[in-house]
Amino acid sequence: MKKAFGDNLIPDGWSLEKGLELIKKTGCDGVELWLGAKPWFQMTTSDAGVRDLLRKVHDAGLVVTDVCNTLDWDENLSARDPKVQAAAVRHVERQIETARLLETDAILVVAGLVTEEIPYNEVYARTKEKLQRLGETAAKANVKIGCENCCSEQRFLISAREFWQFLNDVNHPNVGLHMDVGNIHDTGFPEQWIEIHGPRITRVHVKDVLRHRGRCGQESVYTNLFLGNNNWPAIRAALEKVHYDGWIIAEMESVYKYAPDQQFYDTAAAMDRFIRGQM
Amino acid sequence: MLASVAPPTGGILDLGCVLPESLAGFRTQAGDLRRLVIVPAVAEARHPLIARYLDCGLTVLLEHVGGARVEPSAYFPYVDYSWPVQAKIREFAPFRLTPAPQDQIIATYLGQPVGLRRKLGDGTLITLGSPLGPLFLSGDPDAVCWFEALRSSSSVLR
Repeated sequence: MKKAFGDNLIPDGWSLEKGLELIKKTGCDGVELWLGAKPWFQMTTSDAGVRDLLRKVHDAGLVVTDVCNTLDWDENLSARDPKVQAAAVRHVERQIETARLLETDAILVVAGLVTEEIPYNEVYARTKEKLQRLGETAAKANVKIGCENCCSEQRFLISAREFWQFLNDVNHPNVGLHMDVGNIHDTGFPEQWIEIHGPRITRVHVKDVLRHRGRCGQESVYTNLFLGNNNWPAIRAALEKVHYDGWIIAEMESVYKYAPDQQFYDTAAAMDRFIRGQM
Repeated sequence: MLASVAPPTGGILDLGCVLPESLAGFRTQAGDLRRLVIVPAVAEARHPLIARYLDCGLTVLLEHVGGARVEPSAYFPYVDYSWPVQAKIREFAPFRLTPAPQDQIIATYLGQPVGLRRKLGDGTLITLGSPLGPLFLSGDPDAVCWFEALRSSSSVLR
């Protein structure tokens, strides 16, 4: 396993080059690029601009792990509005295109958002149909679509078995799970998700979570690795059990009030120990 | 189910199984057991029938669910098997086994022995402190893989 950070964690106001230099300094091998998150990678970024991004990543001694996006929350595949649906398909297609340009083989999608107005069964059917089509596009580009488990935030595919059944229904070899071990908190245990999904896992996001720490005990709170309630030895063992040997990518909220670069160093050190199994 | 007079063939032997899921799980895997005898989830490890099968050169897989359990300070989900293949198999309330000098430790849980292998005459006794049978019902692929390896190794005539 190798470690990486998402470029979305690079502090606001920093240049990409400064962020990449920091990521490299922490001993990482890769960076995850988020379409829509930072000024250097937007839907308006040309192919030449994307190639320039790759050059900067290589100049820093890194590779691109995968292409995520921040756009799904506003433009989701499950939207009712055909214009929004089309925009969602377009940005996922752009992720697939840029994955090729960035010499990686995986993208992340938040597939399906259940809302008060758009009920679960409607979201299920529409998202499945869209992913089956996008799976074909991804297959032609030799890219895998990893649907992230955002569980509570999506109000969709809450449990491991639901997600497993959904991927069975999509039934496309290029559509799998981008596993976030910090997103499960209230709805299960990440090590059990890893076991159930095994070879369908495309990438792994790591962060920790303090379960039910809100003022009224109603909210879970994301935090740095080893500070929360995740059972990290169990997660590590589950990854070994399913023979996952891919990227471990820190995807977390900026929680350091001062010295934001320290979050990178601390997280990288924790990821090293996680990868070595020294916990 | 095997008859009380032991023939030199394998099968499932109910010597007072205390865990119905284990018996049911092994039944899903039974097929041709060749020279493997399975004794699901018994609290008492000694029984004269077991010795008779071992004398006939068979391999006996005995699930022993008696004695002291391994109590982890923090929960860990897997038993580590080292024989006949390496595997991480979900623990099922593992009991600590006490190896004799002639025993080979084939499985551990948090460093504690929970699987032993012992040659007895022409036969081989495999004792597991963590029941395997229930895992067949929940579809643990590594449990199936481990059991298939054991089935293959036990088919070799000694």
